[in-house]
Amino acid sequence: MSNIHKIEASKFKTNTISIRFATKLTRENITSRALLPSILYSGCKKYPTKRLLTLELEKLYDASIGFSMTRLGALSVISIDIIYISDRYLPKSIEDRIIDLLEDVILNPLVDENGFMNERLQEEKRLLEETIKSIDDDKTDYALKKLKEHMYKDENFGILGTGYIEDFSTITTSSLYDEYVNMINCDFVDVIVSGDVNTNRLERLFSNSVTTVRPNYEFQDNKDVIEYTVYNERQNIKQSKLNIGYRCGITQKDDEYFAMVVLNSLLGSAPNNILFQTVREENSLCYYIRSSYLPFKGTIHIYLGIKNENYKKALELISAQILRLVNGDFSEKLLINAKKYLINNYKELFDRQMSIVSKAYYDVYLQRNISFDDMIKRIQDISRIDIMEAAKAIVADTEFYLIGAEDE
Amino acid sequence: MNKKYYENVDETLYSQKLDNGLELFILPKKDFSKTFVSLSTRYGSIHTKMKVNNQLEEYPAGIAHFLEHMLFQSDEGDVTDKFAEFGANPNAYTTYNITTYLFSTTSEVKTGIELLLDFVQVPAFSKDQVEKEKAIVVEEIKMYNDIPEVILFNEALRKLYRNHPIRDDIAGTIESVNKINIDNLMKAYKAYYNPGNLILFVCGNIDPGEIYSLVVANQERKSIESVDVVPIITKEGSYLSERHNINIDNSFPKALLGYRFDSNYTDLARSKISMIIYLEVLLGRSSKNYEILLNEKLINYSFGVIPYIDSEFFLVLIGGDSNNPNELLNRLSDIMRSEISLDEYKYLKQKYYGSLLQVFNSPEAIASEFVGYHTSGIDFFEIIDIIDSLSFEEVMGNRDYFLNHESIGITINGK
Repeated sequence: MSNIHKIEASKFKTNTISIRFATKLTRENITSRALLPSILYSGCKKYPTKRLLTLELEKLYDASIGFSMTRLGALSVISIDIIYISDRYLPKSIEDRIIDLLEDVILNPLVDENGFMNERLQEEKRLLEETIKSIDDDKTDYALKKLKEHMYKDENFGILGTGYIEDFSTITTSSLYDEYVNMINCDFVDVIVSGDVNTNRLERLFSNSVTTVRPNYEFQDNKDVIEYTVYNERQNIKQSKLNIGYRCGITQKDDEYFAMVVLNSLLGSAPNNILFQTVREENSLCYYIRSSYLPFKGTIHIYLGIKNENYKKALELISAQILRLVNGDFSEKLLINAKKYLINNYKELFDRQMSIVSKAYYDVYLQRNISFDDMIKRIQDISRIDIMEAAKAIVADTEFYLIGAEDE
Repeated sequence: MNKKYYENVDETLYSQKLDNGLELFILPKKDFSKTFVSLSTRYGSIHTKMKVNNQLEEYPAGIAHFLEHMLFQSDEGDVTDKFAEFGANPNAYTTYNITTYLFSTTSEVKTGIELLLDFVQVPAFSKDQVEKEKAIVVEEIKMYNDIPEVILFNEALRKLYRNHPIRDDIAGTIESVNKINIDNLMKAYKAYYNPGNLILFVCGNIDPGEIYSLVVANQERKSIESVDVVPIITKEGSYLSERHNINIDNSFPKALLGYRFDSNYTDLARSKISMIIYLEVLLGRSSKNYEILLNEKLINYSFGVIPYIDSEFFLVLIGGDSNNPNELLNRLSDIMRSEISLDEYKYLKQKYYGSLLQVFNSPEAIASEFVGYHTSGIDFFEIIDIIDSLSFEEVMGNRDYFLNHESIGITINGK
């Protein structure tokens, strides 16, 4: 069965349709599920090549289609999104052709008696392999990837969302086809629509799944800190990258969730946050420094780029800032501004059609029936004491330090 | 204020050049929660040599970018604090020829606009703050210089240009940044932040009349001495066909092919749009060539074509990650000289109408596209008309550029 969620929006020039297939993410299914969006994009019976599909999209006034696999907590979500010009701006409606196209690419892929076409599978493996390898070119991304690899090594979250090159040899045209059939028939399917779209056909098209219960997105394997562990690596780069992972055990279903969201804003994401002010502005140690809160894992990552000689000082300053949160040693203005920043961002989210679609999807999973005004109130109600309480839960877990050998 | 309704995109643009020269553009978006505001000056990294009131002045590379950092500072600290009071986060970026300051907000739009105009138009940074900022900018330079893609791109520019300041990295080098001080910053500021050089773009849920009055009153409070600035961009001779490899540990192999052309256009707008379309037909995602290169395993989705077409430079860079960078360079230089057929051109107008319309979904995108084209003297709203008026033959005429010029090729062979 599929679930249609429709959000009216007339302020955009476009309509957006998103078809999302969700199931548990496992080490066994991850690489196949990373390849599935690509193999669907590579060809269907009606548009057997990417070029023919792209030409059709261009004829449809540059409609854009996205095939992707992302994570929602413990789930793997395959999304096929299409954005196209609303009928208001066109001489003739293209809605039927758009829905035909979705049907073609999702339900009628190019296959033979052995499953997907071997030549296409080899091509998509090559492209995925090159994508995985090139991630390491950006050292900020690389260092964060290594932090996660070490910190979550025995946890579901530690599984790489990109898939693994070493799995390629076991993935065949028929095994990938089985995974596809599984996705169509057994994943939990949602169809989210924004704009003026007739959903009758969409509702029927994607209702093949036998799964009627949403899979559980919550991680069952969140851990506590055992001991602080430091990992180092040297590379011939100019800037050293310091990444620290903390556990707080506060997740999106806990009462302290909003306190943690505000805490993270105050610590390292709002403008002139505490880390930015002290580590960058007062001590000139870095250009970028940020913290991010991962509500499904109940963890926080802090990352920055520094000169190797400032390593100790940076570590001390970061610990001192967390201690300031525990002691409530920050101005009232900073706390108010951190909340205002969150509220402003939350309001701005409604100006992007894809954000509205994604929010609607998360809301059904998280069973958030909380209204816009309630959400804002929950944020505004967070007090200094709430922050201090939440900060007590933060414990340093893992550090990954990428040392720039050309910086000594 | 001038008011113009554009039927094909269903938008109204208000515009006015104020008495002091500042250009104001307002595009109301009634159903949006946010308002996006940008203030740009026609000043970028290439403006390091100029005549100011007839006197020759020269500046260290990276000064425009450094000045962008410094304008956020004042004796009361970072101006970001004042925006934070209503939840907004101001930002800025410097390109080869423009510096832009921006913010978006869902409340206190007017306060934000005044703050933006004031911090950009009233420099308040100190000597100590300049020295302190150097260490931060050096970390920024080091961060970029660790990214192989950036190294490749900058090297290509240095091979194409021997004298032109576009060969210098936007942020400069560690050495050039150390030559920056409060005196040369203030001189550069006076030359390039004159109101006549500024463009303010406001897009969102606002009343155009109110914004107009606010900006006029704000500008009337300021008296800024006007200066006569003539940028000097060193002319280039011809360049030689060249292939060059850079060794970078652990990098995925890459290739970039580059061409430089003379920027003496008879009509910049037509030249720019027709070249963009030509490159799209030749190597875009729906082109035969793109499909062939993918099938030959020479490219992946990182492949891109970057045209830089403006009054002060005209260059095209093509490339991306490749398992066989040398072969990709050979194939690309053949493709750039090849012919294309009319049937690949047919649906382009439809495509561009659709993609142009999608820009109007986002206040940020509207502002950056509009201002980017405006500084080149092109009206963004007229692009669709230019596309309509282009003939197949005119677009295909761009092939001559590639037939008549050598290419440079840079590779990273990785390890």
